[in-house]
Amino acid sequence: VIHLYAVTRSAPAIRRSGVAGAEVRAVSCGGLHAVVSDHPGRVHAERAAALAHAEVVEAVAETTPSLPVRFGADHVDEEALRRAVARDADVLSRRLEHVGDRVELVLRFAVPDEAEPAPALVGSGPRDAPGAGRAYLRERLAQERAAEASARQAAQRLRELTAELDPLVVDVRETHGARGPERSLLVARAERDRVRRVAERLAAEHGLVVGGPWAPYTFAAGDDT
Amino acid sequence: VSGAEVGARAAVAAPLARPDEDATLVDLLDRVIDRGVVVQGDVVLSVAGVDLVHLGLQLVLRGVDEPGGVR
Repeated sequence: VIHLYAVTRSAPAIRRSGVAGAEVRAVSCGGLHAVVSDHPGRVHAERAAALAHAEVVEAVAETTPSLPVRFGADHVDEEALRRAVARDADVLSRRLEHVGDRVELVLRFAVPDEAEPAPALVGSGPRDAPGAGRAYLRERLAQERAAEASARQAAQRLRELTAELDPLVVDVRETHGARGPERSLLVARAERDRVRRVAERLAAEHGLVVGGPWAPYTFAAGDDT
Repeated sequence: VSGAEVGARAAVAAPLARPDEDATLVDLLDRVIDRGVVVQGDVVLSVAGVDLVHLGLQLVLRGVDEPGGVR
């Protein structure tokens, strides 16, 4: 089984071992290179494996523009890998061009916004009363709308608190996850320290968390996530 | 938490002891398993414990003869 870490344009310098201590090597695939390691059986999704994956991705990104690959799917052999890379070569090349030599930082609230808990379901009569089902659905709908509105407000607040960074970055992706809204910033590699310093100041002022710089996972995925 | 399967999203999202450093480690793990480019093979194996549904329904899975190995 071949585990894929990153795709590069130039042959990368490999400086470290990969998942489960496996040797990391580059496979030439047309005009691209795949950074891989070989495994006797399926790779297991353990925290240590995901971290090892991330470390190889970062090490490669330090040496040459690269696209970080999502941890989760492996190729059965080198031939299958080459076919897959060849098939996606256009998309991969385009994304390499856009994000390959950039890094990603993320800002989010340290504590997910709990300022506006969803309203509790209020009993509106006996469950078997006529119309009880409709009333219940109406309340559920109101709850969902309140949660959506609250999420939108939190995202808007995060946008305002971090607006100072916008002129310093190449691209911004806003997502909403288990830890509330987050803003992922695509930053030129040469600017990463400067942007990180501004981000840290904003974080300290407004109770935010800064992550990264990392390889641009969020932007490498394209617009489909 | 070591050894916990990162495929289980709940385990990744669980709050960790040291707020700042470990908190952003969680953000990194999120990215590693949920973002990044997907190279769509016609024959791919799920990393054990990761549901390939996460990788997008556009993945075409066929021709892999491994019971339970491919989802």
